[in-house]
Amino acid sequence: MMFLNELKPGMKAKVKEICIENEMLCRRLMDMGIAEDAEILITCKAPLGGPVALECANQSICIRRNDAACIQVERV
Amino acid sequence: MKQTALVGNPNCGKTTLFNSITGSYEYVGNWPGVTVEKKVGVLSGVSEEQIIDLPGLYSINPVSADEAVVTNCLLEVPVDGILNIVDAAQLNRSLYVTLQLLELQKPMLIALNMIDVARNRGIKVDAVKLAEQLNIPVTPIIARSGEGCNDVKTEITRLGGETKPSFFIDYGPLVEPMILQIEKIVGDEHTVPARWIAIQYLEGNAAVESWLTVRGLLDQLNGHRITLEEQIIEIQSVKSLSQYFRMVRSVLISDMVQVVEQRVNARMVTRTQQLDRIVTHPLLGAPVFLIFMFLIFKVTFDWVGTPLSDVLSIWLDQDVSPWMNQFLISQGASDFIIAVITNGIISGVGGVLVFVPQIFLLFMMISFIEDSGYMARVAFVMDRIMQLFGLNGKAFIPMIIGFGCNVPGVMAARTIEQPRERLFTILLTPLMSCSARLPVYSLFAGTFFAANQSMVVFSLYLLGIIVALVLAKVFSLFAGVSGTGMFFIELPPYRVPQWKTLWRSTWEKGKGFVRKAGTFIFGGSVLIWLLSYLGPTGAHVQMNESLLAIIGGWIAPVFAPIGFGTWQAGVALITGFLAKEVVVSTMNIIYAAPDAGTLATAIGQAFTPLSAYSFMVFVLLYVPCLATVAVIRKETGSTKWTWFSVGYALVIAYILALVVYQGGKLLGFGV
Repeated sequence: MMFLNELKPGMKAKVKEICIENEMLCRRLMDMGIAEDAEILITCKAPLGGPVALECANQSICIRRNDAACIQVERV
Repeated sequence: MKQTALVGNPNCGKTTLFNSITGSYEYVGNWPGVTVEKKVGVLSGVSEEQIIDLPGLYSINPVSADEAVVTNCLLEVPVDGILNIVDAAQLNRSLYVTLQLLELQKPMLIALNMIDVARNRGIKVDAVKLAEQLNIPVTPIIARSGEGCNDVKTEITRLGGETKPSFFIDYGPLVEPMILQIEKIVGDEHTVPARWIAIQYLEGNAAVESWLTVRGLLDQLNGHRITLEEQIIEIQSVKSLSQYFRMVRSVLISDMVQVVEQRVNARMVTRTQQLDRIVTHPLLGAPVFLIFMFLIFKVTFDWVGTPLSDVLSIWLDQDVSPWMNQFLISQGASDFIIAVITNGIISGVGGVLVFVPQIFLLFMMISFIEDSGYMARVAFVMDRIMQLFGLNGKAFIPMIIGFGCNVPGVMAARTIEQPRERLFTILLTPLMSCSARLPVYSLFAGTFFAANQSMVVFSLYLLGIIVALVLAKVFSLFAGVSGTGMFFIELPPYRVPQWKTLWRSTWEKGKGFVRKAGTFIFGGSVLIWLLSYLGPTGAHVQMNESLLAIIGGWIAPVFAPIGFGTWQAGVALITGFLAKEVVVSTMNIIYAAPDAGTLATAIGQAFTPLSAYSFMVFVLLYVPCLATVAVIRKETGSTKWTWFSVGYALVIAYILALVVYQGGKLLGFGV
C-alpha cells in the first residue's frame, strides 16, 4: 500500500483509490480526471509539508499533502 | 437582440476570445484569467448580437461561487445560443462541460481553441469529426493570435432558429423514469428544459436546488433523489448518484475522443516546466516571489511611477492652475466661482489625479502577474504559510489584487471553495494597502521621511499583510475551526502576456480610479470647500471658524491620544470613508494648499513625524472605503458581516495607531 504523499518528485504512479473526505475536493479531482487508473506524475513538493504539485493528462494541479495522503497509488 | 453565452473551462481562453470578437466591455469590475462575474459585450460590427462572458468552470454542477454564476445565468437568462470553448489540449475535460451544455437543447457551437498548444504537445483534434459526433458546428481557433475568430463571429450570427441540437444521453433504465417523473413536477415553462433541471437536480447541483426552492418545488422532489441514489449505489459500482452521472458521460466522452483525437507521442520538457523548476522550487520559490513583489514596489514608487507623478504635479501647478485662473478672470467669473474651481476642484481633484501614473503602473504589473500564470504558483508557494493562519494559498490572490484595488480583490475571493475561508478572505482583503491609500502615504512619507520614503511605505504594506494574517488566525480561533481546510488549484501553462490584453486590463482597472476622481472626489471636494467657506456667521469666513472646523472639532478629541487631535485630521478621516484618496483632497482644501509644496509645509507644521506615521497606520487600517463596503455587503450577503468588517477595522486601526504613537513617545520619538 502506497500513498501519493510518499512519492518523490519525478515519480509516476497509477491511482488505486481516492478516500478524500472533503466532497468538494473529491469533485474537483474528478473534474480534472483524477480517478481510478489515472496516471500521475509528481512534479514538485513545497517545503515544510506544503502542497504537492502533480501532473495528470497534461494538466498541472496542486493539492495539500494531507489530501495526497488519502490517495492510494501504485508505482509504475 | 440575440444573446449568446460564452462557456468553458477556466483558463481556456474565453476572455481572450470575448475581447477579440466584441468591441468593448459593457460591464466591468473584473479581472482577466479568472473571470468571477458575467460580462456583456456586443459582437463587433453586429450590434444586435450580445455575448455574455462567464467565469470558467469544470462542471455545470458548481463547487465555488464563481462557478455558480454560470449555472445561475443559464437558469435565469433566456440566452438564444451557447458558444462553448473547448480546449483542444484538454479535450476530455472540456467535453464534460460540453455534454452538460448540449442537454440544454439550445443552439450551440464550439470554438475549438488552443489547437496550436495541442499540436505542440502532439495532439491533433479533428474538428470535422467532432462536429459530426456532437452534431453542432465546430470552428478551430487560436484565440490569442485571433486565428479563426472571424469564423466564430460568422457562426454566431448564423446560430439559432431551427438548428436545435438533437443530442440525448440515455442515463439507463433506473434513472430515466425518475428524470421523467421530475420533469412533470418541474413543468416546461422555464428558460431551460425540465429534463436539464431534473438531471442537474439529481446530480446534486446546489444552484439548481436553490432555484427549485425559490419556486417551491424542492419539497416535492426531496424523496426522489435519496431512493434513486440508494438503488444506484447498490447496482452500479459507484459511491454516489453524481458519480454515476459522471461515469455515464465519461464513457461517452472517451469513445468520442478516440474518434476525434490523434496522439503522436511527443513528450518533451516544455518551457512551463523549466520555469516551474525555479518558481516553485522548494527553496527558491518564496524568495523569487518576494523579489518579484519588491521589484513591483520599486518600479511603482522609486524608478518610474514617482518621477512621472512629479512631472504631472508640476504641470498641474505651473500650467493648468494659473491658466484656469486667468481664463476665469478673463471670462469675468465671480470671486466665488473662481474660488470653488481653483481652491476646491483643482486642489481636490488635481491633488489626487497626480497619482494616476503610479496607480496605472501598479495595475499594469498586477495584470502582468495575472496574465502570465504566475498567480497560481504564488498560491502554491504560499499555501503552507497561509494554512498556519487558517486560510489557504488561494487567499493570496485576492490579497495581491487588493493591492491594486480592494473591490476586485474582495470579488476574487469567489474562487475559494470553502465558505468560511472565503468569508475570512473577504473580510481581510480590505487590509491590503490599495492604490487609493498611496496618495496619503506619498504625501506624509514624502514630507516627513523623504530620505526613507520607500522603506516607510513598504512598512505600511507589510503591516497590512501582517495584521490580516494575525486576524485570520484570531477569527479562525473564534470560529472554532475543525482544521480541515481545502486547497486545490490548477497551474496553467505560462503565457507571455500580450501588450494589447495587458493595456486593456490595466485600463479597465485604472479607469475606475479616474472615474472616482470625476465623481466622488469632485463632489467631495466641492462639498468640503463649501463647508470650509461657510460658517455660522455667514459666508467667506476664516477657515478656523467654518462649519467644517466645527464638525471636525467634535471628533478631534477622539484622535488626540493617537497623535492627531486636530479638526483638520478629523474632517479628512471622515471624508476618507468615501474613498481613501479623498483624505488628500480634503487636506489640499483645508490647508488651502494650491500645490503639493504648500501642502507639505502646512502638514509639516500640523504633524510630527511620529504622529504622521500614526496617521498613515490609521488610514491604512480604518474602515474599508464606501465601494469596498458595498462589495463586501454584496459578496457576503450579510449586513452583520458588513458591519463587522467596518467595526473591527476601526478598532484595530485605533489600537495600532495608539501603540505606534504612545509607544513611540515612550521611546522618545515624539519630539
